[in-house]
Formats: sequence, structure tokens, C-alpha cells
Amino acid sequence: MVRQITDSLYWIHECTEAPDADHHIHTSLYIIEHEGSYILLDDGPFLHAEGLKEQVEDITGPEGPDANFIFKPHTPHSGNAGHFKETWENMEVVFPIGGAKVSGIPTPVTGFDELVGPISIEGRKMSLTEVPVIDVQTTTWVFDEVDNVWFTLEGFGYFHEGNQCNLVSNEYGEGLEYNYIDDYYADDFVAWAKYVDAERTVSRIMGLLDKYEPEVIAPAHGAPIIGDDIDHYMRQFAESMEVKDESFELPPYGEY
Amino acid sequence: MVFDTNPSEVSESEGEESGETEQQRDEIHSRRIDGPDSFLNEPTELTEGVYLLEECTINPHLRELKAAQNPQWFKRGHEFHTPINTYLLVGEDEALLFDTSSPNVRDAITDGVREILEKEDVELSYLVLSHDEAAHVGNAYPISREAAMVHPDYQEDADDTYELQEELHSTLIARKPSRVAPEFHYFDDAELVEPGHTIDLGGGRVVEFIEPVWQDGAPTLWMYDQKDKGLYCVDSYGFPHCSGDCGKWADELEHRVSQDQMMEYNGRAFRYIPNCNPWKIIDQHNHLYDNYDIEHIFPAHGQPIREEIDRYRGLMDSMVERISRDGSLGTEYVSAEELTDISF
Repeated sequence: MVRQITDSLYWIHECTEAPDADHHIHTSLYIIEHEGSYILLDDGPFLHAEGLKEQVEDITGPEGPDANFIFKPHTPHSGNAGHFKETWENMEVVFPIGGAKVSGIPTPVTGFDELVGPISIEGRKMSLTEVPVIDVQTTTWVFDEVDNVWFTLEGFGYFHEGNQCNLVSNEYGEGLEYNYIDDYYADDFVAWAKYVDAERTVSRIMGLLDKYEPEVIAPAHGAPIIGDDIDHYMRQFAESMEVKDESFELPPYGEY
Repeated sequence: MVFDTNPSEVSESEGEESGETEQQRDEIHSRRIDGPDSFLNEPTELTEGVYLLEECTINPHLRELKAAQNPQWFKRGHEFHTPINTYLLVGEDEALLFDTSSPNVRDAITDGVREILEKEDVELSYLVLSHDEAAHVGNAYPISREAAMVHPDYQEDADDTYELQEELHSTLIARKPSRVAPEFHYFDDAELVEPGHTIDLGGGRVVEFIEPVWQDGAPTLWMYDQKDKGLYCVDSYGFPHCSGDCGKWADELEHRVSQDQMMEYNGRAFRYIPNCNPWKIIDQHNHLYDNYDIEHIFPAHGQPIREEIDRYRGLMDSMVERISRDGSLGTEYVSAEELTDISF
């Protein structure tokens, strides 16, 4: 289901069910419309190729986007790059750094040498920001200066219930739930959270929020977080990090 | 500001140390890249029944960066290689492949695996997917039909090309995700295991899957081979090398591997460390050594290590402290005023 979030930002998504539980995780992609051009942000796992493709074309028409920016060359985020490029031949594939074929992307790409700094795609001025919640090394986050949207990939993620798939944050009756945020920062997505220094991590993110003052957070594994809900999320996140910080345990090496 | 990894501050100091000019830095920053190419070296038998299939990625950008910084370990005029290692372990009864390298070396890796299996006259019973990154498991499908790690369109192409998957009936092994369905990580056809799971390949070669200390993507499996007392530690203990040094043990290199050389890889791979309490990581690292007698280290992105294990262990701990204190690498030479425009 396509949802328009700001004047020029669209959110598209598919969901994956969790095993043995009634909750889902989003695969969220975004499209920026800029002066007649469409920029697709990420292309998702091929598990969801057809559903995502239909949603993209609902926005762009059959000619597809003009550019596909990939936040990181990692199959859950870039798994459809080659397939989409074959579908929409005029689309340019862009990611910041790294090798396309080495990363499993069977199409030529354009990239940058650096992982932080200002960029422009299709004339849209954006910034590659610091990445305070990271998994693989080539991860990038992007701040869009036009609509004040921060695209945060693995950051600001959360699970949701099976009847909440199409909701954005301000449509959750009681707000985003602590447990669904806390569960997200575990071994499947953000494995280093077991080692977390809560004060460092929360301060670092708060510093970047003060710097950019985003009006919308656009995560890859959650729905857009809008306005005051960003503060709500950070309160839940901070509590989750404090609990994890205080509950570090060594694994049972040799005693499995 | 212990945890502030302001990239421009890091870059200025490093640039001054290397004598590099602002103009040179800008030239490096503004270049557009298509990414490194790679090739597979001749397979090497490291210990009895343990083979290294080393893919070397050639990175011209980092070569020029190192030429400017001129660290002791870098050989001017040589290529800058970051390896992507696949290991084939042969037991008396069965064989196990740990990762598969990237799709860039598909033909070479499938040929290499086949030749070793024929020479050893053994079946490939297990294919271990350390984690769902194409650079590590990008050839899982040509090796085993059950492993869908690339888009189905490209798998169909492979059906006509790669006979190996017809010959092998190996069991895929991957870590059981705890909170999402296995297909999210492309593990839906794998036997999902958790740390502690063991496999006996025969002849004393028993491997145990263990919890990683450091990891890149998640969920990730590390492995310990009881026969060689070998640690298969995926993204950690890595370091780049120069052309001419491919396929060697770390102790066969001209220079002793330095902390700077270790930082060159690990400082980029573990950009999350500034968020962490470094002593938790070091405690877990110590806990690993308290429980496993480690005589060989087989990293995915560095030369295998058989001597000075304790020194390398110390280098990894120092790396954690250094990144925690100074920030990670990989974002250097950024100028806030600079705009790299890639309008098409």
C-alpha cells in the first residue's frame, strides 16, 4: 500500500511475519519525487520483489524511477537492484561505496568514495549523515533537506502487530510500543546492542537529532515516525538501551 | 567527546600526518567509482584437510589513499587487496564448506571446490552460510540448489550453467533467527542451528558453531574446529594485503602485521564500536579464549594466522579501545562544503 508522507515523499512497504508470534517487521522503501524525477530509496529483498514493484509503478507509472539509491549493498536492501534495472532500463543504480558484483548486484552502479557528506541525486540535495545505528560497514543514512526527512535504515526500527501494517506512527492509538522497539534491538537486526553503552548511544543520536531537526524519520524496518512521535520513540529507545546496558551477559562458551 | 566520531576532525589530523594536501584529498573524494574488481587465487591447503579459496578484491581507491599515507605495510606500486575467504574442511567421512565468496568469482569457486572434492574423494555434506551477505555467500546457489541468495532471475540463468549443484546434495547450515522468519535472511531452506550445535566430519574433525564476538550483518555464525583448534571468525581478525602476498599465512608476510594494518579493515568493519562499552567486547573476547584452545585463526577478510595468536588477540582488543576512543575509519576526507553531484 502506497502512502504519501510529505509533499514529495512516498512510503511503500511489505511485511514479514515473525515465527511463533503475532507480529510483523516492515521492509520499507521510499520514493522522492523531485522536479518530475523519481528517486527510489533501497529496493528490498527479492522475497518482496513483485509487491514492491507494483507499488513503485503506482507512483511512477510503468517507466519506473529515474534513480535507485541503495543505502547499503546488502541483499535485504539491494536484492532487487538487478531485477528492477532490467524492468526499468533507464533507472540508474547508485550506492555510496563498495563493489557491485562483489555485493551481489549484477548491474553497473555509480557510487561515491565516502560515506559521509553532501550529495545530490537527480538534483535533489541531500546529505549522507553519520550512522549511529549500524550493522554492515557500508551502511549510509541520508537526510533530505527539502522535506526534513531522515532516512535511517536499521535505525529507528520496530515490530508491529498484524493489523498495523499500513499505519504510520501517529496512527498507533497508544503510540509505538516499548516491547516492539526493545525486541527490534536484538540479534536479528542490531546485534551489537548487547554491548551497548546506553549513554553514548542515546547522546549520539540526540546530538544528530538536534543538528538535523528532522520532521519525519523514515526507517527501513518500521513505518515513518512523524513529528512528536520521534521524541516518544527516543524515550522508549533510551529505556531499552539502559536495560540492555545493565543486563549484559557473557555467552555460555563451552557450556552449550 | 569520547564517542563523537566527527569525521572531518579525524580526517584533518590523519591527512596532516600523511603530508597529503587539501587538493589531493578533494580529488580522492570527488571521484566516482564502480567498486573493486576481484579474482580467485589458486586454492591452498593450509593444514591437513583445510583448504583456503581466497578471493582478492582489488581496490584502487584505497590503494591511492594508502600511497598517500604510506604506512609501513603498504608496498608502493602494488595492488591493495581485501580478501574474501572461503574455507573447505575435509574430514574422514564428509566435507564442509564455510561460506562461498562473492558472485564475482562464481566460475572459479565452483571449479575450485569441485577439484578439491575430487582430489579428496569426499562428498560436500554441509554448506555453512555464516550470514546473509553476498560477499560471503553469493555463490551458495551454484553450489547448492537449495540456497537462494540471489534474485530468482539470476538463479534460473545459473541452472543452465552450473552442474555442481546437480552433483552435490549438501545440507545448508545457517543460524536460526530469533525474531523474524528465516526467509527474511534467505535461510528458509537451511537447517537452522544455534550456537553449540556440532557436526562430526570424521577423523577427529568435529566443528562447533559458536556465538560471535564481532559481527557485521546479523544473524551470524562463527565456527570452531576441534581438530586444528581453529577459529573461523568471519568478519573479525581481518586485514588487507598487497599483491604478491595472496594465499600466504600471516607469518609469511614480509612485515609483521601491525595494528594500523588491522585497523585498516577492522576500523571500517566495526563502525558500531563507538556505541558500545569496549570492556564488554573485550570481556567476551577473553571469555572465548578462556573456553577454547585456539591455535589457528581463519578470518574471512585476512590472511590465516598460526603464530603469535596472543599478539593478534591483543591487536583486536587494542582495536576496540582505539575505535572506542577515536572513532572508526571509513568516513575520512569529508569536506562539509564539498558537493558531489551525480545527476544523471
